[in-house]
Amino acid sequence: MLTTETTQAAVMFLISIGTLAANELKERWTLMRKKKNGTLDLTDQDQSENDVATAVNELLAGRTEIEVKRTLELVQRRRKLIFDAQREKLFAEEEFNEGRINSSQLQLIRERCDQQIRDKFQEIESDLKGLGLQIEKPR
Amino acid sequence: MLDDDLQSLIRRLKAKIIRHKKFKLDDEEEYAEGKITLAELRFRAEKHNAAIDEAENELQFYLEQSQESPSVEVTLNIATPKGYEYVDRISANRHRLIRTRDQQEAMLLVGGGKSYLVDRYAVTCEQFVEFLNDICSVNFAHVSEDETQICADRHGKLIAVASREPSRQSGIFYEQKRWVCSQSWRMLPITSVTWWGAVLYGRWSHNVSLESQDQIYLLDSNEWLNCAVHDFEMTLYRKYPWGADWNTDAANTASYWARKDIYSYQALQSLGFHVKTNFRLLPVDEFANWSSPSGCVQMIGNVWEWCKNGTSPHGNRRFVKGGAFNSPIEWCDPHYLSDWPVDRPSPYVGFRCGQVY
Repeated sequence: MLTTETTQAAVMFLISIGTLAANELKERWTLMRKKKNGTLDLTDQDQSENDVATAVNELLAGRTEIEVKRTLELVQRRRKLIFDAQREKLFAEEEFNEGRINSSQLQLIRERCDQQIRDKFQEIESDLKGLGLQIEKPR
Repeated sequence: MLDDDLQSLIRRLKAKIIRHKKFKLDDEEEYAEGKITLAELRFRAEKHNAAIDEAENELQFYLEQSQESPSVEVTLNIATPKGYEYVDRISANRHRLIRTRDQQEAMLLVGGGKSYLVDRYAVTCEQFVEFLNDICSVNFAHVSEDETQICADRHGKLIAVASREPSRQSGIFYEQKRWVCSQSWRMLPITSVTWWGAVLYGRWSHNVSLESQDQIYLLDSNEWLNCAVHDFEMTLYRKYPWGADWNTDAANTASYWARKDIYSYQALQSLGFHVKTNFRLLPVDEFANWSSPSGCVQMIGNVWEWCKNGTSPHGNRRFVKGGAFNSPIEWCDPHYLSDWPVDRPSPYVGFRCGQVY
């Protein structure tokens, strides 16, 4: 059984990752539920933390506290890199707006950062999959 | 609304959008770290989204307005200089023109109390050959008879040297009573031209009498610097034409070639270069993506460019700016000043025309 603290951390990660995916990749990330039929939309604005917490408890029932914490740390690191790439993009836009770089340089930076963000999301997805959290991306 | 006001408003709105995006990012990070609740995150996100939407709507409106600004207004305010044709307006402070005599693209830059009219590219071999043929046909200049292919004006002042000697190669030749340039050199900048040659070319291309004493269509070193690094729209100066940091891929300098594979002598010969190093001239329109804020291409690298002034007004030397294809980084700094004797043609010195209009 996971402690409330770990469950809360997992919920926050999942919701923030869902929001990030919606903003950055324009994708809807949903969590597959085993017992109940259907999925849980992580990008849904009306989603309450309690619903996600119930789903997390249900899905991570057989996992140890250490295992969950280790994966969450990994995800946290990757998410930090996504934030860095997003910041870099905004900084480049700012520089372009102020005329310090030209449009081709801005484009190059954007492409590089977008690639980094896509890679990190893929890694996060496989991390969560390893933990037993199946992410679905409905088209 | 004036164009300048409109542009500054657009910039401010763009900055506002970026600022709110940054705030959103900070909030998301705070939530992920457990510093704020989900409800708080959503409340803040709503606030930022509303601000972003509002700014984007406003921005859209002003962008449409700026595109609708009639170019007639510009042409009315700025009379097209004699000998040029107006092409289009690139931005509020930059206009594109074509010089009718040699079909050279020029930028008209407005701002900072002065207007500059400067060539977008350095003068090419093809353009210079046309000039030489023209002035030779009216007997203003003559070619030496001893096969050294030197062109001088009627007062004996040297204009250019065309030599097949590898070390002084310039790409132009005198063959069958005409000046010609080899095919591979057509778009390369003219070199081995004296300061006097550059001055005469300026007069010829502007349809001004070659004998007129006071007309010099070259920029002085400060004006050249303005055209290279001054952003007329943002009223700020860049360190290099393309931005704040040195970029080896942005200009034809020694550092550009340092990263390239070394060509064999035969390969270079097949390209028309009789040199034993990898450094060489590149066409004047290369590196157009790394142009200066004014739109001028290759202000740095490829060839040094003659300036109007020198350390002493009556001295025998004039400033050259920008560095050449074999110059190290420190010589390619836009602020670096070097000078060269007016009557000595160099395979590293070319020019572009310009004037304060």
